[in-house]
Amino acid sequence: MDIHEERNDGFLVLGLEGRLDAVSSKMLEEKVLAVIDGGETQFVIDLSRLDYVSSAGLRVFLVASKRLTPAGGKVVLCSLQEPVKQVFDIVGFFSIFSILGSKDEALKCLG
Amino acid sequence: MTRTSLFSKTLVLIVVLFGIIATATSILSGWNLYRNLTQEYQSKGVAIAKSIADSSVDLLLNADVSTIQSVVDQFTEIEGVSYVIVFDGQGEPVSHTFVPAVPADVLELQRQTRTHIFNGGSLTNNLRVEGMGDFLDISFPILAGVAGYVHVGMDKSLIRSRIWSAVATQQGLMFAIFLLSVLVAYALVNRISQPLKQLATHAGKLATQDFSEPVTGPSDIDGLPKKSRDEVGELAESFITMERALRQSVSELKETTAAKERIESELKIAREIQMSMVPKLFPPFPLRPEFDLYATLVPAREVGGDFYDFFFIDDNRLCFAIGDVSGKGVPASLFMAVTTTLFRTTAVRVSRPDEILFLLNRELCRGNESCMFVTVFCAILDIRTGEVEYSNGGHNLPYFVSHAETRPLRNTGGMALGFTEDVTYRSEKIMLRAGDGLFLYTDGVTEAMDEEGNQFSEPCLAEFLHQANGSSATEIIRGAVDQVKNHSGGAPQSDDITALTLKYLLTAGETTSETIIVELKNNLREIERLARIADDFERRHQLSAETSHNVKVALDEILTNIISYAYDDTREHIIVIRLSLDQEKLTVEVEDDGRPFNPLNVPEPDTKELLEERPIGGLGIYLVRKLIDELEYRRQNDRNILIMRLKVKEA
Repeated sequence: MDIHEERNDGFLVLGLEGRLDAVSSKMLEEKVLAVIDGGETQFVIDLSRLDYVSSAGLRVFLVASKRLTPAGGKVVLCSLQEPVKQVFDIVGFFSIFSILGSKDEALKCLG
Repeated sequence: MTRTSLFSKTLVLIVVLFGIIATATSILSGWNLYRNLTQEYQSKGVAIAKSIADSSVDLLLNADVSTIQSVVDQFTEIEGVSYVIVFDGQGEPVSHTFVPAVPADVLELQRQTRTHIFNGGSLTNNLRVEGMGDFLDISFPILAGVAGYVHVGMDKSLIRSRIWSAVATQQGLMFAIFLLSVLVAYALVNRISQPLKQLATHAGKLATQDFSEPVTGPSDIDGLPKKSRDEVGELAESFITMERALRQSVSELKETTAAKERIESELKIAREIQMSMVPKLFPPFPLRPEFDLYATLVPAREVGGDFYDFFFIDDNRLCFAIGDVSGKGVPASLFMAVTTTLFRTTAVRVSRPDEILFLLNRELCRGNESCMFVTVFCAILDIRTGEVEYSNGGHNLPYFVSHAETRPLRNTGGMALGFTEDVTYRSEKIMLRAGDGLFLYTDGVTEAMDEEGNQFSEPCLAEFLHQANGSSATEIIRGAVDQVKNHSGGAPQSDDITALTLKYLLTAGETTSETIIVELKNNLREIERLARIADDFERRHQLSAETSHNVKVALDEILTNIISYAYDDTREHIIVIRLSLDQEKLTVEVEDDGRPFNPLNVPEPDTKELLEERPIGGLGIYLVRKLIDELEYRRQNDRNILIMRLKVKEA
């Protein structure tokens, strides 16, 4: 999996590409924790190019959200592909995460 | 500049030389002349004084002054005699030639003379008389000074003027010789420097000359060696020789370059011809979905000795082969061309690999005077059954790649073709099941070296093929070539790189049931490999994207659990996965030797919980339960066996 980092309207956007499984989730977890430790309180994770996610990947989203919420921060997910959407749906993530259709909407949600 | 410089140097040298010679000879001859003249004058003076003295004795004694005066006067006519004076015994002048009176200096000298003891000779003194000049005074006693003294004054200025005139004449002569020498030297220097200047101009022109053009006319220095038969002539000769040699080597270089360009362009065409001899259109048989085939040939030079080939020998049998001719470059490529042509014609006549190699070898041995040889692996696939019959002629054994294993094919023991006619070949058979593949390659793949000389090697290739299992034939070949090139780094390619992959597939129309077994090591990275194999399986059976995805997620979750938590040690363990399709049902079995674990006993998480109450883990097993239609667990022979069943939805 590749992580693409960019900044839109002042907000950090992490774009994930490929497979998010037990191996690559460790890399994502390190990246997300580094971002939070670096002082980012609100950012977007763009899943438009993520083909696959397993529970190890879901865990990282939970960790990120749990770290940010008590401090008043927020992580917004956007542009889920069908297989990823199905997995999110099964585990009930739509009710606990801000999940939006596009990156623009996600940025608007933060701004 | 050369001429001026040379000439002025010579001139200065001549001037200095002549100056020294002229001065030295002038001093020497002046001195000699002075001595001789002085001596001559002295003896002349002595003779005169003696004769006056002799003739004056009687006259003085008789006091005949007028006669003495006439004698004295007589002597003044002689050249060089300035004065004559006769003194009497008392030292008084008796008669003299001075006008009007005897100078005081002469009288003083006479006083000194009287004290001199003559002993029969004369006395010579240098005398300067104020207002008259320098004289050589010769005194002679008359009757031993009793009767008186005679003084004769010889004019020294005459000596001086004679010396001067002699020196002037000599200097004039010297100058004339000097002038002549300068003229001669000028002419000489000119004679030497003129050709030198000509050479210099010629050399200057040489630098800007185009040596590739033919000579337009005689060169301006051609006549020099004949004209001046000296060192300059030799120099000119070597100039002409050099120019000729330059022209020749430039024209040779031109010819060599042209020849090289011609050879290069011919090699380029040869490469195109050679590349057109191996099939390059992929997929080669779009209407035959039973197999997937891809091949590549990367020559190390313009042309090489590797080849591959594949073609149908009848409706259901595909013949494919790979080969490597000994050596490289043009000879190898020609032999390769012969081999491929013979191979095609032989393969359609006899349809058994061992017979093909036997006949091909016999043909190649005939007239093989250059003693070249070729290693060939030849195989025939029956696309209805997946059965491959193959025979090997000294070639690297292809790899058999299945979900369960990656290993070289069993050897049939034949030797390379082209050595000797009476060689027989054996054939072997191997059954390809759906998803299985063969990887044929030449030693350019495994013997590709990095900058330190380390080879890519068979184990590296086997590991790559194991990891790439499930990829398409094209991906496998391109991946292998990339791996080899990565390994080589900046090192130049030492040998042709040739590889062919054939993957046997099943068509949905022919069968709907298949079982594949995959063995995984307890390493999280193995999961992605399994995902590719599963993808391949599902694509082959045209299962829906949803089914495919669900199976992959479920396998991922179960295997991540096993690999992460099932083992108490750090040893390597094997996890066996069986994928089987039967009619409308896909069954996935996962068997491991880890600690007992029944995923069905894991409590379900509450997916309605708010974020704050959500535990971080525990979602994996829940996902499996939701994605899979039927789950079954049993512990058997100390092994966990989990069976997952899905209803198949076709794409």
